[in-house]
Parts: sequence; C-alpha cells; structure tokens
Amino acid sequence: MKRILVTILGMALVAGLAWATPEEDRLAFIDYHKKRFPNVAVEDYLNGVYAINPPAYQQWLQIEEFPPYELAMAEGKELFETPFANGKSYADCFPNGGVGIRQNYPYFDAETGQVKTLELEINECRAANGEAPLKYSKGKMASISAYMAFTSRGQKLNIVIPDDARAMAAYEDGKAYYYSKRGQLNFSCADCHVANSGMMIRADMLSPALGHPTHFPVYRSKWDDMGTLHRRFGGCNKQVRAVPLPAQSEEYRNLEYFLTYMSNGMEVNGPGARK
Amino acid sequence: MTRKLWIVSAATIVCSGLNVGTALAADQAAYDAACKAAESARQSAAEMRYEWNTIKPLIEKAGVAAQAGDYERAVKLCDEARKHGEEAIAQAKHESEAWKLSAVR
Repeated sequence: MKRILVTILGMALVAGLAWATPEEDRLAFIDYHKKRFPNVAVEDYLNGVYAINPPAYQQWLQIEEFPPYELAMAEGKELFETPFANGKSYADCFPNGGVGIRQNYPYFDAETGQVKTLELEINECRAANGEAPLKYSKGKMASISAYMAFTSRGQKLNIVIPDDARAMAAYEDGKAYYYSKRGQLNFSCADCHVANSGMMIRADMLSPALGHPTHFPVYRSKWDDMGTLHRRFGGCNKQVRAVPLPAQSEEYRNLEYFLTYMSNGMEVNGPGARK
Repeated sequence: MTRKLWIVSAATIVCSGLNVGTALAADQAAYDAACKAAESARQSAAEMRYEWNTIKPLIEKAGVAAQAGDYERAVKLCDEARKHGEEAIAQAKHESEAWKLSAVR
C-alpha cells in the first residue's frame, strides 16, 4: 500500500513538473536564457547563434552585405506575384494579400483542429487553385516562404494558443517532442539548444533556442541552399541518428507551434544566413 | 564439491557445443528469422515515431552478407538491428514521461 502511494505521488510529481501554461513556459524560457547569457539582450536572440558569438557575429555582418538568400528571395517574389493558370494568385489566399503576415504563423485552425504553418497554407493555396503541391523542405517552397518572411521583417511574432483543448494538446505535443530524447545518440532538441547552447560541438557553437524560428527560412552554407524550418528539424533529428519525420508532419507542425510561441514578441527577421 | 565442478564443466561444454552448433547452422532460415525480428522491431519503433536511422542500414548490410552466402555475418547484423529497434522502443516508452524532467520551468 505504501509502495502504491509513493508511486502515485512520484507520478503526480513528475506530471506536475512539466505542467505550466504556455505563457509560464515562455517566461521561464526567457528567464533561463537571461541567466545563461546575462550579457545578451532578449531582443538580440533573433540573430541566433550570432547573438552569443561575437567573432561569428562580425563575419555574419559581412555575409549580410551580399546576402546569399537574395536570389531565392527574388525567385520567391516572382513566384508569389505570378498568377496561377486560373488567373488567381497567392495574394488571394492570404490575409493582407500575403504581405507582412509571417509573424502570425503557425496558428491553430479551429476548423480542422490542426496547427497550420505558412508552408502548409502555401500548398493549400496551390491545391485550391488547381496547382501541383511544392516540396516542403527547399526549392520553390523555401523561396516563396523567404519572400513572405522578408515582407514581414520587423513584425513581432504573435502566436496565439486559443482557449481550445485541441490547441493546448498541440502545444503540449510540440513541447513533449522538443524535450524528448531520440535517436541512437539519445539527444533531445533541448539537450543541444537549451542545456548546451553556447557550447562547441566540434567546430560549431550550439545556437540558443530562444529566437530560433524568427529567421527561417535560411540559406545555410552547409546546404549551399535554402531550407525551411522543417528541413532543419529533420537535419537535427538525423544528426542524433533518428529517422526524421516528414516535413509538415503533425509532429513537426506542433513542434513549430511550441517553439515559435517561446519566441513570441520577438521580431521576424527572416530569411536568414547561417553556417 | 567435485560433483558440482563436474556438473558446471559439463554444462559449459554442452553450451559451448550449442553455440558452435548455432554458428555453424547460420543459414538462410536463420537469417530470415533474424531479419524478420529486426524488421518487426524497426516497424514498431517507426510507428512510435522513434526509429533510429541505424536500423535500416544494418538490415541492408545483412542482406548483402546473406547474398554473398555469409549467413553468420548476416544473422549478426540482423541481431544488431533488432537490438537497435528494441532500444528505440524502450527509449520511446521511457521518454513518454521522462521528458518532463528536463523541461524548462
């Protein structure tokens, strides 16, 4: 009997440890980063790893003089403005003609009960207008997303978790994914980008989690190409020797929901350039 | 005491003999069974969204070894793949609660 009580108490304690409102989570997240990097202003985290690595920050400023994402952005603008075969365009699918809206994504869609990302809605727009879907990780999708992010620069992330049990469940799923260890190396997203942020992993510094989604999609030197946030999620999973999930899978969309909420209030500055 | 020693020694010899027998008996059937078990563990891990990316390459290598007639190596590789699958399943079960301990709060 005593053993049962101890077990129940233990389970309740573990369950209670993770329970917090999204806003409590976000404030704790910011507080954690403030303590870990006391000299870094919260608003600077939109620069990713360059916020905590001054020499790399200087190199990055030089790179930004001739941004490697510019070609993709130009392609994205052209694709965005080119009408579909039926004469309509992306502007017809999004609020405000698709301009300056990146900060509101992802959002919870009460109709479908799912988290909707910008990339998902780009393809939904295409499907609604009789166009073939684009691949989610790179290429034209990344270019269109890059252009839409660019039109939203300076807008503050405004991720809303409505009073809907399904939205809360999606947020909690994303949070669980973020903190769960996986792969043969037994690493979670948080192991690298929370507990060990600022540490070196071989020649690279692990970037801090706060501000991560602000600058996607990114041109990554390692890829020599543009990529969406879900491409990066997949890459991280591969690096810990897990099989990545498909881009825009429900798990990755929920993960994006949680992670972007953690950066609420920070400015969108995508597309970005990263090593 | 002497009797006990005899029993232990005899058991050891019998077991060694069995092991040698198993190794020698590694054939297509043994490979098929080992591979089936590995694939089953991989599928279960995948359904839990916890598959390791080490499992498929091990199964593929086992296939190459089997094709070359090296069933002993093929069985070993499949066994290794199965273990990875089982560890991935155990990881999924463990993390369903353990993640909460590392959440920032």
